[in-house]
Amino acid sequence: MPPKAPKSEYIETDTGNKVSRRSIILGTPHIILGGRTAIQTEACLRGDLHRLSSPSTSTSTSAPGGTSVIAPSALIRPPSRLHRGTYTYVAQKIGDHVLVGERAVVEAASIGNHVVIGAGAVLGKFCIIKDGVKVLDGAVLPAGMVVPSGSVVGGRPARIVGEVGEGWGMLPGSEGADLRERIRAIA
Amino acid sequence: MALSFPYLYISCPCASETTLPPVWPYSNRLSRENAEDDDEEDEKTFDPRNPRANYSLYPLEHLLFCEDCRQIRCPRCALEEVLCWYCPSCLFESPSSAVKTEGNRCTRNCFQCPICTSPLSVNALEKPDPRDLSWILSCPYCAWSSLDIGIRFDRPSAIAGQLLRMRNGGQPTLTRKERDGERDRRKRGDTNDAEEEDDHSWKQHKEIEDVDDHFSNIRAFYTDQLAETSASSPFGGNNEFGYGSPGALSRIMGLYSRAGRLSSHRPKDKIRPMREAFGEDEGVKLFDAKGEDEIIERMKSVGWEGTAKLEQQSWQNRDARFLSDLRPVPTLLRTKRARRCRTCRHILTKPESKVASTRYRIRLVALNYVPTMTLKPLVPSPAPPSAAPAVTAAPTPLPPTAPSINLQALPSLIPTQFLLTLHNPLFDPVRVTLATPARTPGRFGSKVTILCPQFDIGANTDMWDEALTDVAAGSSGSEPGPGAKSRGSAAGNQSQPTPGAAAALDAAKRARAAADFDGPVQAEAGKIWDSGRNWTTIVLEVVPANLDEESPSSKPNKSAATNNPGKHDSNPDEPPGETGLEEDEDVLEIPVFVRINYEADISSEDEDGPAADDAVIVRNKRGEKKVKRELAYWCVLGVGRISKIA
Repeated sequence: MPPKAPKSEYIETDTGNKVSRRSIILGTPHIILGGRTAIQTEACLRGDLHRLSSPSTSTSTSAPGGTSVIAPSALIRPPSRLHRGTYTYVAQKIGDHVLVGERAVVEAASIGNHVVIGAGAVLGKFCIIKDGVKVLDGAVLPAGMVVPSGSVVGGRPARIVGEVGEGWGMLPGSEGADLRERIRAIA
Repeated sequence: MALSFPYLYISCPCASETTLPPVWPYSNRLSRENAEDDDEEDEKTFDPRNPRANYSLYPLEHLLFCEDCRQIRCPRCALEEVLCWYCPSCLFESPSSAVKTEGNRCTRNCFQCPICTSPLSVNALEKPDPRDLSWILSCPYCAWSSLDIGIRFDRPSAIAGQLLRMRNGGQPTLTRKERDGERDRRKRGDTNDAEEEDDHSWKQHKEIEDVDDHFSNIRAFYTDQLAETSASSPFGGNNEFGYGSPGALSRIMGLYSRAGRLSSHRPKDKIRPMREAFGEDEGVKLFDAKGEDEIIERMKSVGWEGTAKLEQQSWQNRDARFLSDLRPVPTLLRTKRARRCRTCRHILTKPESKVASTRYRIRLVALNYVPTMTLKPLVPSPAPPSAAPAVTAAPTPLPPTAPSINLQALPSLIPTQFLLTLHNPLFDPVRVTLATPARTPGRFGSKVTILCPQFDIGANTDMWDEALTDVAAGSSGSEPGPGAKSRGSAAGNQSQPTPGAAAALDAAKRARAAADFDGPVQAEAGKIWDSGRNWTTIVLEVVPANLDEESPSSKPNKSAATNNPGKHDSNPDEPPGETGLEEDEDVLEIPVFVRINYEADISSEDEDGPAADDAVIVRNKRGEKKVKRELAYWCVLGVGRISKIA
């Protein structure tokens, strides 16, 4: 009997999502992937942490948008708070062309399009990241921080340290741009 | 932050405008003639290690392009215009009038922690009695809260206003009216009981004194002074000789004819000089040794931990030596800005003025005018078909799939080949000429050879063309490189044998002799590696320098370098070869001079007469009028770090 063909690491869905077999995805009914999204090894998506009051499957707890990459060992979990005596989780939205770096921890409420989150960055609860933002490696964004579009943030605690160039996201293959090539290269 | 390789920086030509624009030594006759007097200056290659280079090198996405000057514009040669102010935290736009009156700080609920600058959140303070709610500002990062300075708020909104009326500790501050009343009362009382003002009352006074009091005192004093002296002041006030008066015009008109009469008309004795401030009520702050003693006493009691850092003090707009003096810092507003060309004043970028919008009305970024260059190591794999798809796919500066070449540790003295891909963003085919010094500048010169220094890139035409050529490339991918259907190969080969090409030839010979490449992936001098719709890939060969041995060409310069006080750690006593590396001296950076020639469709401006010097109107084969354009600039390719020979 011939040996079984080795499984490839990634499962590719009809919409072009590439999900590593070694990623940890919990609560799949609550996660909507936008298509052409890559979830790499040991990345963790916590869809099980959803709002208890509405356990319907329609509630999207975590929704990485289209053409995004979630790098190895990143953790995406919805933000939570104690509200009127109950601990609730709030839906989280991640835009298109978002790169979540390795070992990053994301508890932001929303992330816009063309955002690059550096390796090891920590996005606190209920952070709001607008479009075209670069979070430098190792930055720690305090809970509830709002980052306006076109900023570069870094440091612990994170501060706005600069602005991205006017051409941010326009050069294919550069930071913040279309991640299609990168996703294609993942196999 | 560690450098991520490879990278590309473009040198904005504005850096050299004060001196002379760099001209490629082998460029066309016209520039050759112009450059005759100053050959020496022109033939200098761009040195990325020059401290000045830092000011002209920008990543491509930061650069703009002025269509009228036909030139790259960097943040240094573009002017900025503020379109709107907004708070980065609440994203509310602040009208410019409010910015003028209330300063460039958010006047809503946005505050930063005085300890760590993270944005503060407004939290309700839980109390046993739910009717007696109060709110505090608290830091989610360092757990500082406004309770630490004894401040709590009655309402969760309009925090800035509430904070303004409260001093640290919770006592209310005086309103302006109260302050004025207080000052008047003291002024009247001053004459009666000046002697009574002993230490005790002074101290009491000092306690309520703060920056706002001080400012209002000064302002009141000078307002009074202006009012008092304006009657005789020639420029201030509302008298008939003030600037704003109706008589001003006639006075200025008659300034010369009737000057004598005018001065006699107004006797000089009426002009009273303004008096200087005198006393506390007029805003004079006298040095007081008692106050200093008090501070020292306080330092003794609170200790080191209780004092504010210098950085924290600088965020405050008042004296704050102790943590208990700190106040929440209102968030600084940010701006949306448009940019203009400094030379011709045309708008280069103009974002929509709405805060939430990220769109641009005008955006002339250099990305749309300058070819983008991407560098990739050429993997010396004996299986060309596997390497080919990676080449034909649009290149990205991602880590190479094959880990055989580590850009963080390039082996010294081993010829390494790289694929340099240029993408043409223009709608016209361009001819590119690349030039690079044979040896990179700096103490450790690496040998660089561009195997095909002159080539063509196709126009950035319809996307569908690419889709179709991609299919074709898939089939032709197995025989890439030398045989590639190249318009540019012939041109690069048979044109005058430039030194670059000659060097390339023997470099290829060396490569053939030394390296373990197989036939099909062999890079050949003078030929492009591969090309597509609007991109062309060429091969760049680099022999990284030996870091243990300084390059002979740089040795004569070394004495100059040691004399240079800027080079602090090049010790003249150190024997050559054992010198320590300066910071990032092991980084292999290749300066490349790029010249682009193309024929563009004629625009309305060009018909009136060529706007720029480089615009020459020609007729192409089909008889269409075209305008010849040229763009030239230096750029720097960061290849990687050279590793030492073990």
